[in-house]
Amino acid sequence: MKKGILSNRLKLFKKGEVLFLLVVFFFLLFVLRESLTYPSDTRSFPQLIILGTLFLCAVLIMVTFFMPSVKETVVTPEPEGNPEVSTGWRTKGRFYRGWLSIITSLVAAFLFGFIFFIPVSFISYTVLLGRRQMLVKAVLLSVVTAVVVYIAFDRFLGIPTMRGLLLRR
Amino acid sequence: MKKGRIGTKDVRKANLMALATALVVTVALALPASGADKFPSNPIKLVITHAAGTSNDVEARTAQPFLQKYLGVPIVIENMVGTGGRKSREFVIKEKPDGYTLLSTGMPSCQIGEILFKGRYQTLSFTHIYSLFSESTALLVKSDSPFKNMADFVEKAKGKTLSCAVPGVGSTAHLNGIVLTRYLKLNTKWVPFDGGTEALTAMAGGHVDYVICDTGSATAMLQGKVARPLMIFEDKRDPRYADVPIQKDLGYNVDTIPSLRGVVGPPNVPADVVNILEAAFIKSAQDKDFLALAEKAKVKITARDAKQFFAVSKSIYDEIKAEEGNLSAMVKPEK
Amino acid sequence: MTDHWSLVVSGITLAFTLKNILALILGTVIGIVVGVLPGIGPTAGMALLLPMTFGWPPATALILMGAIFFSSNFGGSITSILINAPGDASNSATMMDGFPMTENGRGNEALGISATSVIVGGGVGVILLVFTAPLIAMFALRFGPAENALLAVFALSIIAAMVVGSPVKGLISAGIGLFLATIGYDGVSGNIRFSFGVPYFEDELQLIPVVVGMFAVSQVITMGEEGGTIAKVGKLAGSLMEGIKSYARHPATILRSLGIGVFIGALPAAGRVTSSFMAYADAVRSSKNPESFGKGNPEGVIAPETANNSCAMGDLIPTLALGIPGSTAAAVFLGIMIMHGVVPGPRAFVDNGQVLYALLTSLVLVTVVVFVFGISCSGYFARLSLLSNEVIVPYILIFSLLGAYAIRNSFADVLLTCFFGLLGYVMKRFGYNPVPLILGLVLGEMAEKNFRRAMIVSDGSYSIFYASWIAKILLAMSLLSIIYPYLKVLYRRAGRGRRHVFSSP
Repeated sequence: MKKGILSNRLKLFKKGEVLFLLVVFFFLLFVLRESLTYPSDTRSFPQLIILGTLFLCAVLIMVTFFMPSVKETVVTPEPEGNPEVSTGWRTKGRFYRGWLSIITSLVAAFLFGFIFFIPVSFISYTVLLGRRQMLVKAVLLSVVTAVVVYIAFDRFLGIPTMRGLLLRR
Repeated sequence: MKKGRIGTKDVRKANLMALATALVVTVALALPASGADKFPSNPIKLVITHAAGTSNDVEARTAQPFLQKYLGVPIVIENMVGTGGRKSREFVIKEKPDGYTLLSTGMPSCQIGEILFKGRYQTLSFTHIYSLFSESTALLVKSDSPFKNMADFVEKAKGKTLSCAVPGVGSTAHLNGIVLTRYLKLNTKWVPFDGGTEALTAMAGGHVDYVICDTGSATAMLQGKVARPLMIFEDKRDPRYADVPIQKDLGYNVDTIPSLRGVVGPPNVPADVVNILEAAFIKSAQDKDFLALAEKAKVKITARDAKQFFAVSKSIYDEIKAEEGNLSAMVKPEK
Repeated sequence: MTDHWSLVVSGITLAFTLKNILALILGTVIGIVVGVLPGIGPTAGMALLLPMTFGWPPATALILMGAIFFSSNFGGSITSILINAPGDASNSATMMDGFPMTENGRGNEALGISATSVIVGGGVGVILLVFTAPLIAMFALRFGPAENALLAVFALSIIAAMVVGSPVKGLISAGIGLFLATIGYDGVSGNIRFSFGVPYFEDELQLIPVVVGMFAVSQVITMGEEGGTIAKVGKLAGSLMEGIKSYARHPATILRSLGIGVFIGALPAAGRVTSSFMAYADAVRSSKNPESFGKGNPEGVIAPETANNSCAMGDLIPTLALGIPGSTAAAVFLGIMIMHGVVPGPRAFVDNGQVLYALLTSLVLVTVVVFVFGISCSGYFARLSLLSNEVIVPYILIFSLLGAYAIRNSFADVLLTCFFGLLGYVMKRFGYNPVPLILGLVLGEMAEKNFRRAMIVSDGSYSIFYASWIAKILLAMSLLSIIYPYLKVLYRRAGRGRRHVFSSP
């Protein structure tokens, strides 16, 4: 009986929610330690906040481990997703692909400036997460957007836009 | 949504063509403009240490149309905000000294950033080009305050610790204030705010006893008679407020730390480029329209050419360096 | 007195000259465009157009700038409602119910509400500005460091109390936000905190990357996961007219939001973000079914939008009456006024009466112009919510990241936005409401700095926090709001047995 409960509790570690809480907890401990090196007037407020939040995290951790029967119902402003899509591996895959799309676009922006950022983000999104038929539409749209944005912001309004590392004038 | 059916071959062709067009267009737009010979032949980038709308920025934008007129090329303003100006200075000091990247920075903010806050640049190694604008620091009280003038103020303040609002820790106002109160042997509680306007607001609400800040921020309150200046920290009387005494008038043997804003370039900008830029500034400073505009905006013009600008910059630098120990203690920089 | 009236009349006539009407329209268009992009706001818009206005007569220049100042808010609202990407931090409160409304296909209605609140909030704001500016301004001056600190605490307490979801998690979220507010340069002591040697963190954390990241970027990921379109229902229900009508159905909310907006706007220390969230929190608290907020309740759009617009006018109150700007954008506007020879203060209306009355008249006109624009173009914009994700999502991403970059030309801001996108996604998934974090970030600085300033003035004594009657009231109200939700729960438990308002400890 006891073994069952223990292994149940250990399984909790795998849950993303708990992991997140632990990460936050240890992060707060880390900054608390850092704050001890600051002069007294600067550190009182941060320390107060950190200690308060640490306390709350500790409470939550204990509740999760010692009262796992209390279900954590998520009642937050989340978009009403389709149930089949929001759980399971299918979401996991799309989650990583979504980030891949963002990262590729960022790399493009960093290296080549916003001019390339725009088409790359359209193309990467459609290729990774969208439907193949949309690719042409996406590419055309991206070119039009890039040109419009360039004219409007760079030439007309004079607002500087991201210059790529490799294309620096 | 349309349900057109295109054959896969056509889709691929369309994709390729679209991609090709995209690449061509974007590369064409991104290609840098071809270099040129006589300076200036390309737009000049003027980096500003603070955000759009701050006094440095507004002054630069006021001068911008005139500089463009006399230089013949566009002046592109770029606000590089960060760490009280250090970010933009650290950036410009590493740029090519071809005259196409310039920095508009305030002083002594520049020197303070370097000496007290360990900024990664050397103020004196910048190529000093021109300084158009300067600012005076003033000591102000509420118009209905019991302090009638400086003598009265000093009299009433003896033995007490008054609270003084300043625009920021280590700001010109703060430093001038420290130097003055040390001389007058007055104890002060310094209450730092974020900028002159906040400091003035606190005084206007009666939450602090007096305020030391730049006259620029106080313009509205001075004109509206909400605030009253008791003295101005300057070497000569400020023409905009000619009836306000300066240290000399009051018999105080205290130096002013002057406050000005100037344009610099990275180290070692060639002399002929500097001359061309300097000439444009000189013409702007004498331009009737510019002067009229500055008059209306109550912006103080103290024209200093490259040599004079550098001289003032160096004197400010030396002064702050000399007081470094005391000021650091007061200001507590990053460990 | 007849003198005064003739000034008013001449001011109104001046506002209607062709030149000024054109300036007004130009300013409104620019303002809306500028408001749409996250990193650029009315401040930058006004600064960019500054050189252009040098030769212009003062009235025309001020009308242009005033139009930009006011209409930028609406631009931000459009994007908040339609794509969950705020044009400015102050539009984030609108997103809370505005975006769910779009998801329900009621984007049109939400935009209608937003447009109507421009006229109502802005219009009433101007009227209050004209008739009560000096009074309100003098009252606002009474807020010193101690009062401002208490105000921040009060705002945090109301907002924390209304958070939807687990209170403990909400508080943790707020705690993280408050901690983030301490990163960077500490203005009161000159120290740099928690930068760990990284120059980027030597400045305080910018609000826009955090807000845009937590809402827009995490939205991008969520939408990527789900596919489809924004408007899950597949077609647009509701219409603009319904928006206007639903606005009119909540007069009490409107009145309270107006009050909150104008008052907070008049306070130099607090801005649109605070006022819009306070109005939202107030609407939640006084509603019969608070659980419906966050899912597309029109009141959740009415309150913050009205507050935002009246706050913009409120910003001008101390600006015009005393020469003390009520916000950063107002500070730029003030500078421009001075540059054109119009110095605010008690004598302003006497010395420059015509120009000022022209300005005020045109501000009223701006509200009408924005309203008309909103009504006519919103239908078209609302259709965006029907576009498939492949088209819309990259736009959201581009738009958010370009905006983040535009704040101060720093790629690091873009990276920060993405980091907060990840954090926002994770938090939402695990039940941590991101709103308290944002509020902690905004109000933390205000609370801490003013607290320490007050302590300097009072020589370390806490008595300054209950010295003035304003302070006493704020203190009492903060305590009340913290206790209030527990009182409510107790009351319900006693009255109706088991009815869980909150789902976990």
